[in-house]
Amino acid sequence: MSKAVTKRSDAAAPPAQGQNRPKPPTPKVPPYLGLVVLAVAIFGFFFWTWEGTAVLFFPLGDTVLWAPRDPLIGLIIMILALLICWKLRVTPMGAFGGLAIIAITYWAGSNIHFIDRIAEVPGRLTGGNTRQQLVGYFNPDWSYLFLHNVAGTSRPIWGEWLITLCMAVVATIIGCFIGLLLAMLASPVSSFNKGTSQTIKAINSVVRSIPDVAWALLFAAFIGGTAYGLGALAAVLALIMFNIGIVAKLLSESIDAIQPGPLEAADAAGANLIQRDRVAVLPAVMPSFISYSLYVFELNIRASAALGVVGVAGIGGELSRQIGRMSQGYENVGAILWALVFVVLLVDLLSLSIRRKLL
Amino acid sequence: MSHGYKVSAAIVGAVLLAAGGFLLTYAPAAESSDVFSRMMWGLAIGAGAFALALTIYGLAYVGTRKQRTQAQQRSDAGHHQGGYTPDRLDMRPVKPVKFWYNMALIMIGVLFISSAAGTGMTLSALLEMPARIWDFGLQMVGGVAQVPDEQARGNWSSAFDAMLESVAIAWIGTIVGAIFSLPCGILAARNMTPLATYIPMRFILSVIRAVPEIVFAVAIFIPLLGVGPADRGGAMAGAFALGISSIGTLSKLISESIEGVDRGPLEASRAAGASHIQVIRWAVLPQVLPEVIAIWLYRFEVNIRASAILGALGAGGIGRLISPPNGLFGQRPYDWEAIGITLFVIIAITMLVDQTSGFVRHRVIHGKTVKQKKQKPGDLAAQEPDPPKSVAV
Amino acid sequence: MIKFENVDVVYPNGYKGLSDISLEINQGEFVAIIGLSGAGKSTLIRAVNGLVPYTNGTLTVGETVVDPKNKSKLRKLRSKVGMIFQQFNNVGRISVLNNVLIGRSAFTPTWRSLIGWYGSQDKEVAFQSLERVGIVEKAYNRAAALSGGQQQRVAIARVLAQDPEVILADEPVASLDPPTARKVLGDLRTIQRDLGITCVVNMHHLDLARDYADRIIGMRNGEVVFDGPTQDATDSVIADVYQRPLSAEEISQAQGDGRLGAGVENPTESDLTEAVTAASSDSDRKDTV
Repeated sequence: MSKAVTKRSDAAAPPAQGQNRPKPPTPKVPPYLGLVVLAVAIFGFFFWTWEGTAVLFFPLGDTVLWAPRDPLIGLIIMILALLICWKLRVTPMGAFGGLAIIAITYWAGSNIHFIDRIAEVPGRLTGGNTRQQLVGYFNPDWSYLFLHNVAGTSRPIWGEWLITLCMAVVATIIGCFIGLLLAMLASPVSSFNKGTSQTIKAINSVVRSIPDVAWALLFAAFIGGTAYGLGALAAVLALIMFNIGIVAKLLSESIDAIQPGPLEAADAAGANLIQRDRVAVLPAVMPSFISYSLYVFELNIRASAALGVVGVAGIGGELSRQIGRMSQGYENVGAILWALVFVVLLVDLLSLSIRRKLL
Repeated sequence: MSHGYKVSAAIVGAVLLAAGGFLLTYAPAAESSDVFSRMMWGLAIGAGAFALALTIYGLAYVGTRKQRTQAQQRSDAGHHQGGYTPDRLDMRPVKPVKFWYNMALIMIGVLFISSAAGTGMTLSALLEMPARIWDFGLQMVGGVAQVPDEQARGNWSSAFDAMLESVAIAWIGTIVGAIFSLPCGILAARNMTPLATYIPMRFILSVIRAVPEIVFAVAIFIPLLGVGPADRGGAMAGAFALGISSIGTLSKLISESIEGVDRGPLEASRAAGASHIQVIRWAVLPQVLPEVIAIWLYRFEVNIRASAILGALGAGGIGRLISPPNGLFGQRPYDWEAIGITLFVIIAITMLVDQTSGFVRHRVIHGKTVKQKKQKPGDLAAQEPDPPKSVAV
Repeated sequence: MIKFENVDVVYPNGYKGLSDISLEINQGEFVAIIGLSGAGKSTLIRAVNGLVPYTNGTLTVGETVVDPKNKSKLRKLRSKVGMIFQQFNNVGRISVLNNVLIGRSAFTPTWRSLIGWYGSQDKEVAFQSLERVGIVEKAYNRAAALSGGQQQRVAIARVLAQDPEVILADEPVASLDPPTARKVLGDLRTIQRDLGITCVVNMHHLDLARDYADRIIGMRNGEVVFDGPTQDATDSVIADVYQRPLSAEEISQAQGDGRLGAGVENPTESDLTEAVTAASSDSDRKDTV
């Protein structure tokens, strides 16, 4: 949008008013026609796969989620958007971006039943137990948090908090260390050769694309159970994988960006690769490493609270148990959630002060 | 405080820490919570080991006292040049001891030992793990590689359904975050707003950032919008939880990039009499828009991963498919072929989205229009070759 | 000591950095290389220790033939050939002593440098080189906290710690102010004379080159256009190297630049090519004038 306008503005004041002024550039017609065809094609795809009629996805299986409901409305919206773009003299590339955003949003919104759900909210607020639930969350039962035991055991709730913190600390220290080594291997600047760096990067993007819950479940299965001690081990291993992914990615990008001068100096002094990484690369990325480690520690607190949901140790396990028996009252869940906010805020402040002091 | 005092203070501190940890293993808290008692044992052992090591170091330090005082005298004399002819060695500085740095490292070590003890990990389970990983891994690969029969096709399709739902959740979450983050970011940028809006805005944003997504999901949006699969509202709850937490991070990043804009166009448009809104529209937005779009897309990638954990709590998406009690990992025995297929779909779609969004981000930031504007500072020097710096003619 | 026999350097993008250079630099000489940006000065220097691989001909340092393909042989060569850069290239966040110890890398087992535990022998060498450049009292300061001149001294100490037979210096004083530049260059000259090290220096400052060098080599478009003792490098010869008479305006401008310490940044491959294309277009322009 802005582009079209800036182009228009540099007209020199001509002697005869309104004579030589250049016309604002109009986008070419053929690309726009192409976009209309694209919109119709999207509509066709949506129509082909619309509500209920699951389509064959290659030979692999059927999926219903490709198709938003009411594809005709979608088509109308898309064409309208294209018209508006045309009126505003948006470049075809920009219009394509807008079309893509609208198509994806329409698809996503209709698949998660956006309008229906929003329409239901007032009804839920006035009736049913939603109101009760919300009231319960804002009246947490603190005594539960400090005095009660995990149901069926003799372990107190605050012990679960401790174990959550412990898991986060252990996973951060191990994960960041391994992440540092992998980042060194993953960056072409510090790695043995291009092949190594590409391989490690590919492995790392696989590691990163598996969500932490999936890691926790996988490790729980690999270890052979989520009994007490095993559950903590599974959670720690899952967090370690999670941390490795983050640290290796962020840090390898920092390594890519370091000043090449000291590396050249180390090379010229006859240092081999490992020596060069140790003396020239490591000191240069140390501040980012510390900062990422603190960031990862914060993430770990959040994640380890959530990981318990899948049955491993820590406060998350208790949280999911309480959610499971929510019909008995919402005060317990409220207490855990408020405490979670408090702990995360505390860790946030702590890491902020450490960061200030160190960097 | 001299180094000797510091070392002795550290020894005393370590001993106290160890003793405290040991005593606390008898505290009532330790009786009720085994985690606490294990942590305290870990603390006692770690701090004890540290105290022992420090004591050995301290003894060595005391033992070499004579040499050190001599060296110090020589060095002092060398620096003051008083009545003593210093030799070369005396000019060398004495190596400073990074006392606090070392202490911090050691404390991290003690913390690590204590925490590792506190988790009560059964490390022996690690021994059996490789065999299991091999076994299960083979089954998973087999599941992916086989020609799909009826059951496998069902697995593929449910995996695709759930993952696409995750993508939809993440997209709506990002859209919600994007819509609200731009005004919030402008209101939280120091050079755009008066202090009276800046401070409360910053405060609200940091509160939002401190609240984990699962809290938003469980406490607010699941009651409001429903729980379970998409048609019962779980997906919407997840999308809105992600959207609200996205607002926190996105607004902060956007406000930072607004604070970094070039001031020239702002002043020029103000001087031309533009109103505040006009300045933002014509001087600020064109500058920050590529960066803002990149930030949004990056958040989309983050949201896809985050949607998995929300699913485990009852919001929709891939998390619902895999997590117990109803998901793939909730069944015994594990259906490894289905798990393999699901993981494959997760990895494939996440990487696909990452690649696409990475490409678009690159295009937006380093696109054609931007490239012309940015000129490397070296270019100018290169066009005009430097004449010889100083010539005696 | 250093012998170029018909050496060519062709960059991967096809640009010719050096063409058919034949040179011999003797033991203990202090050689200044002058020329326009992009004339191949940096390429010449970097070819000697293999930072830029040469593509044709033979390049010998001492008894060793430089072989850009053979990494371990190249490392062995680099341990004898020290290099000083325009931007000092010290690691800012570690101490001066550790920076100097980087020069000992080739003589230290990898595990020792990995845990940062250098032998007392190495430390002694490092301290001695710091003493030689006169900043031993800063040994435990962070390198980034030093001034430009001090940083370049640290770089020289790092090179001396290698116990080099040859020192290559790529615009060593171009980012220093003139008095400091003179001091640092003077120190380098003294050290070089005392230890009998062969020294090859890229220069931007003609007067410095005339004051300190034994021998001046002029380069243009990747070729040697002048090679002779300093006293032979008369103004007309210099004007020929730069391929134009230097106007008074240019001289004053150049001096102004020198005072500000503005110089070309440490050239990378792409910078070099850019500079060269610019330089060639510049010569075109002159033809038309």
